[in-house]
Amino acid sequence: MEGEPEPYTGISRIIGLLKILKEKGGASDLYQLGVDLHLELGEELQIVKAAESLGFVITPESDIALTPLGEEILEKDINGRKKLIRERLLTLPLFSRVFEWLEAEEEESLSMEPLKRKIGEAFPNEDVDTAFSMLVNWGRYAELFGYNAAREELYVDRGV
Amino acid sequence: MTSRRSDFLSLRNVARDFTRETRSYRAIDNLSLDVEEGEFVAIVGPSGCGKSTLLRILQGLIPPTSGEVFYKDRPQDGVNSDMAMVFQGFALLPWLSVRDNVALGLVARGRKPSEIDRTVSFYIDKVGLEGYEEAYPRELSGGMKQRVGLARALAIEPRILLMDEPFSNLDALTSVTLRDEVLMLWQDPEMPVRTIIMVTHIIEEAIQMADRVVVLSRRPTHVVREIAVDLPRPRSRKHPEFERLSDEIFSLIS
Ligand SMILES: Nc1ncnc2c1ncn2[C@@H]1O[C@H](COP(=O)(O)OP(=O)(O)OP(=O)(O)O)[C@@H](O)[C@H]1O
Ligand SMILES: [Mg+2]
Repeated sequence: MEGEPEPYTGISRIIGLLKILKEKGGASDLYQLGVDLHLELGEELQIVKAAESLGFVITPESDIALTPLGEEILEKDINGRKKLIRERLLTLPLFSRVFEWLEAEEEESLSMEPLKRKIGEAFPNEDVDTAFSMLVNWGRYAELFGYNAAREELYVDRGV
Repeated sequence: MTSRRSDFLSLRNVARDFTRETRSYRAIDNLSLDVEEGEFVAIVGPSGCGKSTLLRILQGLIPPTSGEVFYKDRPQDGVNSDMAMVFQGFALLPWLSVRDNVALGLVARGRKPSEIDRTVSFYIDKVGLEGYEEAYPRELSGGMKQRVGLARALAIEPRILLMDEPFSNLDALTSVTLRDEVLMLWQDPEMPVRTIIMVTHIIEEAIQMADRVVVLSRRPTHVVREIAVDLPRPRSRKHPEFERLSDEIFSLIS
């Protein structure tokens, strides 16, 4: 397997989970799903939680089921998926707040350290490093944020 | 298995020997295979049987020891520039950005900068890498790395895409998504590439994706059976025919 385990869940894994669920008829027992996918419980729950935060699944009791939005993203093509993820990200407090902060800056960008500090203050329950990785990775996928690793700067992706 | 030779791509009685410590041994023996334009062909076989070697012969990177490769009805001589390869290990250059990695093949072919720019942007968009242009490989998940490998191969606008276990270095969920996306690209009328030849050791992956599964024997390898997959896509592993094909291939390989 490739690389280190990431602290956040990549979008490709989330979509893979939705696709597997769809194959199972749209719903499954959480425990059984983990067994079928050979995932440790902790890892499974991390992926499920990410999918749930984006509105693609619900987890009543010990089950997991696709939402209409979860069905919808599977029907879309590659760029349609990115667009839908972008819409979903803007409903998340972390992403919408950071988006506002960046927009308020002259260059629509912030350096990593000050940004992490702001996140820590505004979202005391979030792990700051994980939140930052997520902003970069989901943000890039959705073409919402860009990140320049050399300058350690997160910026609003205006697609130029 | 002495069918009519395809006028698109055809291997006839191909053999390939390698020498190890002065001893010569045969990796591929008497292998014949035909591929029509527009087909998605999966090649499965036991580990170490010669699948990667077969792809390298197809691309003209190494010559067969005996036998012939025909492309567009002519004997193939040297590297076939109508083919591009996607590798299991991604084969990205760590010091180049996503954009520059995708451009590699075009730069190597000496294309004009303006053309490179346009083509690279088009394929970056197609595989879903917009937003990652300035990222470096170390910043990417495996799935994103393989999208770069895919975009780089597609950017040279090959007629035939060769893929050598393209999803083997990805976790299970990521490969589910990438298989789906590769099929979308293959079916996309804006993509010039119509023909895909994919090596895999995952039987399910072969049946899920391909029009035809070519099963290879142990070394020295040859084609033991070719199996047409007539199921409509997207294919469900729960379909009884899917299970039947899966059992059939499994019994041939093990
Ligand atoms: N350049 C080489 N020199 C010597 N032997 C080689 C060379 N390339 C391949 N071989 C040998 O040829 C045989 C087939 O190798 P190949 O890599 O094509 O198999 P494969 O089916 O792709 O294996 P895997 O399942 O591991 O991907 C092996 O025994 C291998 O050691
Ligand atoms: Mg190989």
